[in-house]
Amino acid sequence: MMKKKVTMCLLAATMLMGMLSGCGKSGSSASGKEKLTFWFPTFAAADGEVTDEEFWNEKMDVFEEENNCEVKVEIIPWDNYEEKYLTGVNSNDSPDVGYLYMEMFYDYIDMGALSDIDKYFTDEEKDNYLYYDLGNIQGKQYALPVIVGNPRILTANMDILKQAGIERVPATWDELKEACQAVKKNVPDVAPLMEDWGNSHYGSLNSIYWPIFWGAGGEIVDEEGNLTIDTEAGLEATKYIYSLKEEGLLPDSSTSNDDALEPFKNGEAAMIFNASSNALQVTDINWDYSILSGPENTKTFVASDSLVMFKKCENKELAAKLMKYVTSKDVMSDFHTRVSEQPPITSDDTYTGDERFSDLFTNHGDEFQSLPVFKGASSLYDTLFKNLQSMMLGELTPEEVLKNTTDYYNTNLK
Amino acid sequence: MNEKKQKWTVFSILGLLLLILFAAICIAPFIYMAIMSFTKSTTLMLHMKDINFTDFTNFQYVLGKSGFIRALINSIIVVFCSCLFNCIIASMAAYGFTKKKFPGREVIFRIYLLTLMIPGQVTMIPVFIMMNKAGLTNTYFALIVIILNAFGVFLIRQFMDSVPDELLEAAKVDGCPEYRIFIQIVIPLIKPVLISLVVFTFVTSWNDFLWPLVSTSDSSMYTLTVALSLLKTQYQTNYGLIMAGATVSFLFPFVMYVFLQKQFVEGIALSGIKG
Amino acid sequence: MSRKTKEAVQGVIYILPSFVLILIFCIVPIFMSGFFSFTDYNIMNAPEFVGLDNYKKMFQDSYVRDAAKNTLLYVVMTVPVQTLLALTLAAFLAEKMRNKTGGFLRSVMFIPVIASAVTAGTIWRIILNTDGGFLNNILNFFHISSVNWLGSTQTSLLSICIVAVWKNVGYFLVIYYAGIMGIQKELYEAAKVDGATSIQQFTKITLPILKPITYLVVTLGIIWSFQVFDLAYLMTGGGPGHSSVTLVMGIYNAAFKQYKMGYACAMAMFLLIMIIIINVIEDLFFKEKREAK
Repeated sequence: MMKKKVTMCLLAATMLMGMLSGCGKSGSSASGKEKLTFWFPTFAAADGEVTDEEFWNEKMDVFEEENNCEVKVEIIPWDNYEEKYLTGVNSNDSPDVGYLYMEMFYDYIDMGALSDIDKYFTDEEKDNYLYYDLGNIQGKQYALPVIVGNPRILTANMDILKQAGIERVPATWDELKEACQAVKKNVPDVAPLMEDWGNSHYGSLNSIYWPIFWGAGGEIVDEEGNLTIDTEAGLEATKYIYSLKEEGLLPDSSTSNDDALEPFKNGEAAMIFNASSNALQVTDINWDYSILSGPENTKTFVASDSLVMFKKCENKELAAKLMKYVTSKDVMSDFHTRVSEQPPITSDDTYTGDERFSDLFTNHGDEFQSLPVFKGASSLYDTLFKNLQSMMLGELTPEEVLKNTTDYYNTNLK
Repeated sequence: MNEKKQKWTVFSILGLLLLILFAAICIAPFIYMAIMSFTKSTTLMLHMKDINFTDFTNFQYVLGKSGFIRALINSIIVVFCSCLFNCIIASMAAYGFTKKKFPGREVIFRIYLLTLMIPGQVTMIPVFIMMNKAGLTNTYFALIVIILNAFGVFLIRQFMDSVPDELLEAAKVDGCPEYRIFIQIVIPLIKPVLISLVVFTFVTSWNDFLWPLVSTSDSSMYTLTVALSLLKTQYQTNYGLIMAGATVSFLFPFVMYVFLQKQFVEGIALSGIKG
Repeated sequence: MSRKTKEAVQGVIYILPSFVLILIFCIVPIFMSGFFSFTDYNIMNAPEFVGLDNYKKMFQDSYVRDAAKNTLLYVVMTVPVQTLLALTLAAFLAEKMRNKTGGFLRSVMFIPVIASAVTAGTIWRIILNTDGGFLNNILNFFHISSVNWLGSTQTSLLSICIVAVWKNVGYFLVIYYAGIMGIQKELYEAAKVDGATSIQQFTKITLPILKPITYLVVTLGIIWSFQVFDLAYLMTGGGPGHSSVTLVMGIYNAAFKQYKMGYACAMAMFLLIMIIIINVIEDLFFKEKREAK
């Protein structure tokens, strides 16, 4: 008898679980229309006028009407972004049109998960895109750049520089050092330069390492995908960064700082490398910016995130249409005004953002560089960043950093 | 125990001071978090001039965000069910392991313990593959079942010793059916530990982020943690808002704990454990 | 049906529901991971058998070596501290403060357990900040110079340990407290009559009775500490250098950043074996003590 009761209880429990799972299931509509799924990350400020979901649903209503189809929008948080895509692709539950950043590309191409979209675009359309070529990866058009922006710049507190006798933002390596020395001498209670070497994520490289590295003429990988950071140019750049610390131009606290903007905002640092949109958050300080030129080049990092079409997509024509619609002037300019201020991506669109960056986006486009696509990119960046951190603490030499990183990459990540 | 009878030596006063110090260290970061949620700071440093305690806009944004209520309900359903099932299933198993002799008992318990040793990051992908094949992603079932593991069994088993065998024997001799022994004698005796299991399950389930993120693709199935993660954007982060979200999310398990803690003390007072 | 068989059947019925769940959601995935560890598997394409390659590679990987070292160090630093601290606090609370104040203090000490790792990590990053961080401000007040808590190779792992202890103590304290409250009061009264001091009562009565609970606390402490990931990932990301990388961080990176599921599973198997060995040693230690008693 006892057993019966226990079994009953169990049965009840199982049934309850079953019911819960049943009611949780979302019903799929049987309208017979073509269906597309569209994944896009969060951009809207949480206190902004629309949420990402509202914005895209509103835009998709128009697209659905025009094309007699259904688009399911899913907004993906930046936290654990890669896991979300990975499990999606694994379960064939990936979107038809998604949004990837540069470090993610190699593996998805390698898995054969992405489609070449070149044939869906006419030459005229291609010409209209300002950064279409950035989406050409390994000879194929796997990506359609959609957010190209936030170039890294050297931002300077002009009041402090003036106090130190410097009139304009340094534009070369030597000028930067001179300005730092002048600040150190004349305004001793201010850090001449601040960098966030204490960040837990390698993303800081984009502001404080790659622009210098490219400026020295370095290339991260060659055409065959071999790592080429351990070169004379790489060494020159790394040594330059190290010398800033050695000569006391970069304070010790830079090894633990994870947000250089904070001391800059407080007037405790004269100069920082940061993303253009971050500079706009500084309101109480009279600042100006430049793109630092190295001995060889003037290049700075620019974020380049793209729309992609997944291979499993059944109606590729329609998906291509969706990509064109999302990147069209109308949708994008609305996106830039209502959701997130970004520079335009098509030539028929105009820059509507902050005045001060109008010149940057209009005339310096050829100085922007995005990260290359190669195997194990994010792990390489992680390794390099950690080794550079050790260098800034005086535990590795610049030579060792580049050699160790390259060795590690070649034996473990390639 | 009567407080007045206690001797307060130098030693115990020192202990009390340490206790208060530790308690202060425990609570300070959360006071910081709460204060932070009244600012509009884009960095994590707190500046006096940013604080405005009459400004509830951050909370308004968090609570008023579309989908917040739905996510809250989802979280509550998931947490409630996982606590309930975890307690039932774990206490049954722990009772079986300690008070019933059957072949392979020790070996099976070893295996249970073994399953706790592998990190969730590893089993997540295989579990996801299975769930997906079974068509169970985007269901409450998937969100609940993942919380049930051998931890509860292990926890309760270590407390089962306080249930005297003589008591169970006596009940059996009196002709009390087995299921009633379990429900009416064993369960009340292990109430304190069940409450600590509830608290723990609540916290794990409430704070879980990665699994709800990958196992749901329908925003109507998002839990609170996933919904709150959408507050973060890539370049500009309003930390005041993030902290307001964290504060809201933190309050639920905290209130639950304070409430259960009362139960916990009463549970001990009422149960036979006191001896 | 004989009494013995009946009891065995009852026992099986009691454990059956949990067994089914654990079989499906824990044991099967472990076997799958074990299988993947011998393959090259990028999650999208079918796994390809490569024998012991992943394991060979793993033992030459300097990241794994440092991660294993750090993980062990972390376990050795956190488990004893959090166990002792939880026991002392619980004993003190049970002895002196079975009242409202005690309840309040218990609630307060439980707060860190409730917070998610993300919240805890974020707040502690601010507290441990080198410039203007709360902790360094206090040190400066006592004329001790600032410490670069998270940014230096000497203290980054230690800082994570401190935060981990802070976060875990509350939970183990509640478990110990439940255990101490379960001890029959007559035992203490008899001891008092015999003239035992409170320290003697603690070592002769409380400790031996709490042994199964100590076993629980230590075992869980070890298992959880070996799986340290969230806090380290949020607070230092493993840096500077490899000073705070951990095994689960390596597993996570291999699986989700490099899409090398096979390699990640090999590391997980290595971790599993390490935990099992430590657990066996722990068992021997606990058994020996039991016999000695």
